[in-house]
Amino acid sequence: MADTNGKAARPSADSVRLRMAEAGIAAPDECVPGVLANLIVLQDHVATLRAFALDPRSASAMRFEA
Amino acid sequence: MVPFAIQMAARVRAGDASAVQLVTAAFERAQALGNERSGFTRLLQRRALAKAAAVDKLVEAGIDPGPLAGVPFGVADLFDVAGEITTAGSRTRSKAAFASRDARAISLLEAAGAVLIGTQNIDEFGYGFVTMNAHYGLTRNPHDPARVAGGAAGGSAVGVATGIVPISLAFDTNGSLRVPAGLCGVIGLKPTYGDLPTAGLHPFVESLDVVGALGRDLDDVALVRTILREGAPERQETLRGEIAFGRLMSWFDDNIAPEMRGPLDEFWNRLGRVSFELPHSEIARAAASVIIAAEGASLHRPALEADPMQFEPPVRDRLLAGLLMPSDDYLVAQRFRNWIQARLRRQFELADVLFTPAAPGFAPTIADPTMTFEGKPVSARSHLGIYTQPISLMGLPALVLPLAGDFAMPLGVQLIAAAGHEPLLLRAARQLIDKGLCAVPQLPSEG
Repeated sequence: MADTNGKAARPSADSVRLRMAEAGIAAPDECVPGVLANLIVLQDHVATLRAFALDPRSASAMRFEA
Repeated sequence: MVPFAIQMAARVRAGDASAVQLVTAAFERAQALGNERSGFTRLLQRRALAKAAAVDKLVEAGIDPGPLAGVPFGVADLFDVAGEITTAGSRTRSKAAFASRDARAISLLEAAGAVLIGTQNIDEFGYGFVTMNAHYGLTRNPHDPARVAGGAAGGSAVGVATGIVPISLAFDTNGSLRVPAGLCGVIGLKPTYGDLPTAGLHPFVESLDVVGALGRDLDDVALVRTILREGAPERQETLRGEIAFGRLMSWFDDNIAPEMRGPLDEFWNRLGRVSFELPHSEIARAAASVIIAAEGASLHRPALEADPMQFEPPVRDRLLAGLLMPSDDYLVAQRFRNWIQARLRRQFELADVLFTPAAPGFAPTIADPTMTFEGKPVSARSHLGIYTQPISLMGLPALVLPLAGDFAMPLGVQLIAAAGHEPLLLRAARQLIDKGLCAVPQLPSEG
């Protein structure tokens, strides 16, 4: 089972295996620790982003220019 | 050390040197150094010598080959070169089709008389800051071969620092050319997002990727930019007297290594000790990381599905993690990116040019490629770009210059201007060089 940390559940080795299978990725088990570590880093980045709530109407997500 | 590009071209145009001689000398130097120390992965001798001979024939016929006549240059192995596989630093592309034509940036430089001599090493798919590539080898820092060159475009910085070529074309997604420029002691220009042509550049993160240039002389870098812009008009600049510099604090002042702090403070003192905040930079870095993971994973999904073990482990694991992120996380990151870009337009009402370190300190060692972040040792592969990443997300132009001084290793400063204000950035850099605050260091063998 995934551990929970605040609102978002922390991924676990088992959840990584399951999500990779659902995504159609047949990766050997030796990949799981590295993927899990990176997924946790990304989850922390997302938490940083979500803590700064932006109204979707105040900024588009679809403009790609400076 | 070989002369700068503009001087080289002047000699060729005047008939005082031949392009074939210049290109042959570049090959000899690259071969003498070998792959790890030259930064080159492939030398394109037949193509280059034919092109150089054509340049010499134009001169003999009284025709000007262009402002880069006979100047040898290299490209990061992410640019298409006609008839070659664009490896992007990855074994997953070892059976890819040959490129049918040169990348636009290569064509433009060659139309100005320059001669492409080879491809240069990168981190796999540009995903890293160290240029330690499991498939194509590592690239050593020319100031200390026991240290990393920085990355992802480390080979392009080393090719320039070693004097094999006066200019290299590279890319910058998140600091890819700025980090190695800082660590190898050369000049690196990352333009405003969308300013220079990316056609024929193997994509990594399309909403961040830009084409940029590395050199040892500011005028060379500026000339490359001018050529690549194909005469596009510059954005109107509002002149307000002397250039106002400001140091960015908070995120950009945290995690600075001791060897960088003193020289950076001295640089700041000489520029008037004005400081600014760039709010939400840590969120910008987080957004950049999410965008890179998501776009990189999507781009490489077919290869990940086919055989994830073909990737080198650090890249594979980062891409697989990116593949598992919800799409909403990516859109939140993109939304923040557009929000902060709009806010930033007002930041430059107070200062013309902002500056930060290019990297936290000296290049880490190859034996232990780590650095200190928030008091803990972390991977340099993923963290050396802490000061460049937020600027990429904001889409701003940045130029890395080496700080002048007698340091054990190069230390680079990152100058930042408002979007589209590269001419101001280049003027600021010229001012810093003329004041003696910035200078390209000699290699130990030249000292």
